[in-house]
Amino acid sequence: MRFILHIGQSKTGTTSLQGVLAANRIRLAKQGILYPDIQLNGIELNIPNHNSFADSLADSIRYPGLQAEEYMSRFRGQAIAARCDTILLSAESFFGGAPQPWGLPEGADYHALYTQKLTRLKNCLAGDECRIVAYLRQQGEWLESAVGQIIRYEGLLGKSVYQDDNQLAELLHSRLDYKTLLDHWENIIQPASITVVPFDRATLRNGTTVDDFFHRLGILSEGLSIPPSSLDDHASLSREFIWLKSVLNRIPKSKVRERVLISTLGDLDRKYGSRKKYKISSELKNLLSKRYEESNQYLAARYGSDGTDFFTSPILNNSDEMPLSRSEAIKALEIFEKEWALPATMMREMKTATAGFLRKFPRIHALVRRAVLLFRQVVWDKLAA
Amino acid sequence: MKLILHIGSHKTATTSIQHFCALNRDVLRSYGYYYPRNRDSAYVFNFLASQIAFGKERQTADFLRQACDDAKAAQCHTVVISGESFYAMTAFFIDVQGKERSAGYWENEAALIDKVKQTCAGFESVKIACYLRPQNEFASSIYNQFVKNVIGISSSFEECIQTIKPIFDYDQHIRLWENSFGRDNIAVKNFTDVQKNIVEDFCNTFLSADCFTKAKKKEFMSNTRLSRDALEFKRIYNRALPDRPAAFVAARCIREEISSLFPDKRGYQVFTSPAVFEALFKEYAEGNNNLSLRYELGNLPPVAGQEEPTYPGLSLDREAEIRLRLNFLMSKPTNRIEIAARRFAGFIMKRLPGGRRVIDPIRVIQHNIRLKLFGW
Repeated sequence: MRFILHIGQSKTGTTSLQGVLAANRIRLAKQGILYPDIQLNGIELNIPNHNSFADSLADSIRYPGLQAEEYMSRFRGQAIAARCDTILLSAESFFGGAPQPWGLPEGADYHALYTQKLTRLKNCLAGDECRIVAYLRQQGEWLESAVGQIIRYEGLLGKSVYQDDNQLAELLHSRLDYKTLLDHWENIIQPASITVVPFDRATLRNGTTVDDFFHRLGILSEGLSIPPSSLDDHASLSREFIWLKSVLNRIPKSKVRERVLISTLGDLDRKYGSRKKYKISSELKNLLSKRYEESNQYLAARYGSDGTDFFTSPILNNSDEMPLSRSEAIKALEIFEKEWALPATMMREMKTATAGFLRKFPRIHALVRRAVLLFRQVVWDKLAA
Repeated sequence: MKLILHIGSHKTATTSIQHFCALNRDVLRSYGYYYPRNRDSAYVFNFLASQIAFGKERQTADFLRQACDDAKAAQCHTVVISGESFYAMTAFFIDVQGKERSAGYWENEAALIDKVKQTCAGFESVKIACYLRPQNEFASSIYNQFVKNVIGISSSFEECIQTIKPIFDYDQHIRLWENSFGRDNIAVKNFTDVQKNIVEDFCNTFLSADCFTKAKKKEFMSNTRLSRDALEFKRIYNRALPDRPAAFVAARCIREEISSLFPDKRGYQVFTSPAVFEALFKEYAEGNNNLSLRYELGNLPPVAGQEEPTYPGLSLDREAEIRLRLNFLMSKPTNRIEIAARRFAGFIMKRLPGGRRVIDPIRVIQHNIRLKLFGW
């Protein structure tokens, strides 16, 4: 058996890629590549990524609640049944994910836990050939994007993580030192090959991770079905909605309400967002650039193709960007209040609460989920026809 | 039958006194003091002053007559009525609410106090009780109260003080009460001297010391001020002019569930500098001295303390946070139901003939339950 691991990192077009991979499982299987779905009692859960597997390697168990070894055993079984000789796994939680820098047990060392996670992965691979593909984003750019994501999902993390950009950069230092993390992957996994690609739309094939990834794997990307929902589900919120969420994060609330808030703000942003991105200061970007200069030079030497800088895009000066104005902020707030007052929001809360309850009974949940997906497929097909 | 009429003034722990009296009615009665019940409130009698200010003094007279009869039946010798709105009725009921008046301030106020005197005709003697505090403290406190009210104001501190300037002339107000009721029937006390034991002092001075020592419930709520952030937010909220039921629930949410989340730092409740306070209130120094001499009040300066204001203003983040918190609280099913019920009750009282007769007994029951369960 051969393995291809797409390890992330987050905010490099992973969601789009995983959506496309999941939508083309059959097509890939015909080429001998299994992009496994996670199954529960024989029911496919239609989960587009393998983050739950990646997190389980660090003992962070989430739905559907399997241990890493159980996942791997099922993946292998599926590959044999489908007569595939290659298993392709994609999870940004391989490179990031658990252990999370903000959730470390007291006195624990991030790198010690990270290497434990990779050792467990190595054991799961059981000596099979493994190829690794990673897309990495310039530290300042990644942090800029991560701030929005962390603020957006902070309420589900169980603790306050974000205070300001500088504090977050400090907290995520171990995530931004790419050289050290990739060294762990090389030393522990000992892959047959490791491809590290700078996430830069100017140099990616057709400007997208999807085309670039397929090209690197030697798979034809023409004719792939591209599900509409995979393109922007996790797109960053506009800055006014990030601001609004940061304010909402100060108010204690249930996980159900938190989930509804996250999806509501996502919907509102798609409808009314200014599309202005959240920006960290140029000073912080320059600081990060200097701080990780040596690490990035190593990436260029080790993984670069032409000996130039690994990240070639210039650091953009954000100082001429107008800060979020009061009127922009109040407008976002008013849009949210109007939406929140609708009965549909209450229905959404009930639906989320029901789904959360059903997750406690994975078999029933899997059945319901399957039924809903089938129903949607039929409706989609009819609409498409 | 005697009457003790506690006229405030505002912001001198009147709520604490009223709660004490309402929660310990039985004890007071056992010492001969009768604290009546009413349909408008569980504990306060401001509606009587309101009736007088709006020309319905006959209703006030009827209420007092009934209270007198009830007190006799309960074998009491004194009726106790507490309502801080008896002080400066012209300012609070007419000027603050932007209503027109035909006479000058003092002429109007004298006429209203005379009406109070007439409504008390059934009593053998009437004792007027009043506490006073330095004008700058009173001003800060009353401004907070005006913003905090269910239908609150949205004006700045300076604008508000200019609108109600006459209420700070203690000497003139007390003289009007003296003119109507006689100097010997007026008792004025310095609030600053008894601030920490105001209820005990009220009992010792106007009722009987045993009323306090034998009282069963002494943990009554006081009318605490809003923190400055909550106050500034409430000012913004007041501008939106919500209907009364929504405003009532919002005011309670801000007061009871939001204000304490944004605690004040030192100087946050100081609305202007000592120099501005001095300029505003120095004209009352002479009147305060006169009062002090007449009632042995000791030191009653118009401006006490020299604290500078430190409040930096309500930030956008803070404003949004309070607004969202209020939004979540208001959308709780219990609050939604309460607003709907209040709107329905309001509709019945205003639009249906005889509706008030239907709603009033319900309100009495509601007040009694609230007083028994929550002490408020």
